[in-house]
Amino acid sequence: MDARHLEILERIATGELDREDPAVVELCRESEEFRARLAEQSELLAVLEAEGGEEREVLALAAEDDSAAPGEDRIPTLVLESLVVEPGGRRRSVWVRTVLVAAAVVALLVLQWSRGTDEGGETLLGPPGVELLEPVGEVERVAAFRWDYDLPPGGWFQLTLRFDDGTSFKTSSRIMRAEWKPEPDLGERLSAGFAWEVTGFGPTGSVVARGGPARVDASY
Amino acid sequence: MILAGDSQHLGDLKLVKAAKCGDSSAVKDFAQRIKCAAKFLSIQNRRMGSPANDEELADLAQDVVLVVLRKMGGYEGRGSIESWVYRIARLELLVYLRERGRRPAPVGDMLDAAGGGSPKGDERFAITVVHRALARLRPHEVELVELRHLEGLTWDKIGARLDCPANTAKTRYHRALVKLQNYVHDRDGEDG
Repeated sequence: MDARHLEILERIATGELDREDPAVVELCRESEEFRARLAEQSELLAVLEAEGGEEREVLALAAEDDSAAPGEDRIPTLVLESLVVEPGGRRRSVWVRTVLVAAAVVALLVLQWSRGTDEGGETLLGPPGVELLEPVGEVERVAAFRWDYDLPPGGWFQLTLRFDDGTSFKTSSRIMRAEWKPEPDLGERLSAGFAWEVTGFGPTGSVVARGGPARVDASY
Repeated sequence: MILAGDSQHLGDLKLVKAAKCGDSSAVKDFAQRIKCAAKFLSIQNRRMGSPANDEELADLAQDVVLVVLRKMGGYEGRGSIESWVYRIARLELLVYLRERGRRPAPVGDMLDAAGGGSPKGDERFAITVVHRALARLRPHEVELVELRHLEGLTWDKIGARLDCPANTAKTRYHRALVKLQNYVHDRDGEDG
């Protein structure tokens, strides 16, 4: 690829030159590398154009759509809970947290009072925090995950790992104790940066508690 | 209207920063703004032929919100909060469907309609790869790609927005495009 090739590619990408232009066709015949780069560029531009169009359409549709989407109602609670806790699991604002806890207690009392009796043994309030104990922050290695939360009888935990490359991992089997030892094939992935969260479920499968995300940077 | 001008984006940046600092009023407003994540997932899923069910979408919406919360520090106000959340939701949905081997039908149609093909024969994979490559570009490079392809601006307008001649904007854009192309194809980003 020389400067002329790059210039032609730029002119095609910016719309100055058509890729069917005789000069471009001739260059494609002359240079296999140019032809390959042009094909790659065209594919990338097609994806970018399509994605741009999709984004504009979806944003416009969303602006006109007044119906409730699945999970939409849970978002404010999740945001409120998460933004009063720092990534490391420490409390960011004692005042805000105190207000939230007080509100949760009042709501719990109201709910219990309105029910008269505890029908299912589960509380369906906005989930309180599971306290993530370790690992948190910079650590040498990740041997086990530990947290603190008392589940109702029959409840279980699920742990989620979110890696810096955008992928995630969720435990598939029910965790019955407030501890989880990572599977050996996760070892290498845990040596880089990631965040983890814990969700607590009641016996009927409804969410009763959440904790995290807590950021971990392992250095081994 | 969701698509907004620069002034609202500056307001959005202030809102995100205040919410990140725990300002209770800002947190409430921010929570309302990012409820759109669930809507974006639902609409995109519908447009793909509904490969995910409502329960999965609800779980995904929570996952998207957690990613948004984790990335709050990286929001620079270059686009609206909704636009930022949309891209996170889009990537999460595509990755989720790919990991579960479900194929959203119209994505291929979308590429065909755009006159392109798929680099690897898997359109969803290609889109995911492009989104991840975009995340590796520098902010000013992403801005050029967004102004051109997402906002659909002319070169004169892009130049005016960036306070540079249109030709300079074109050259910078193409440099960013080459870098993006290299990232997509697992080459070092700076050559060309």
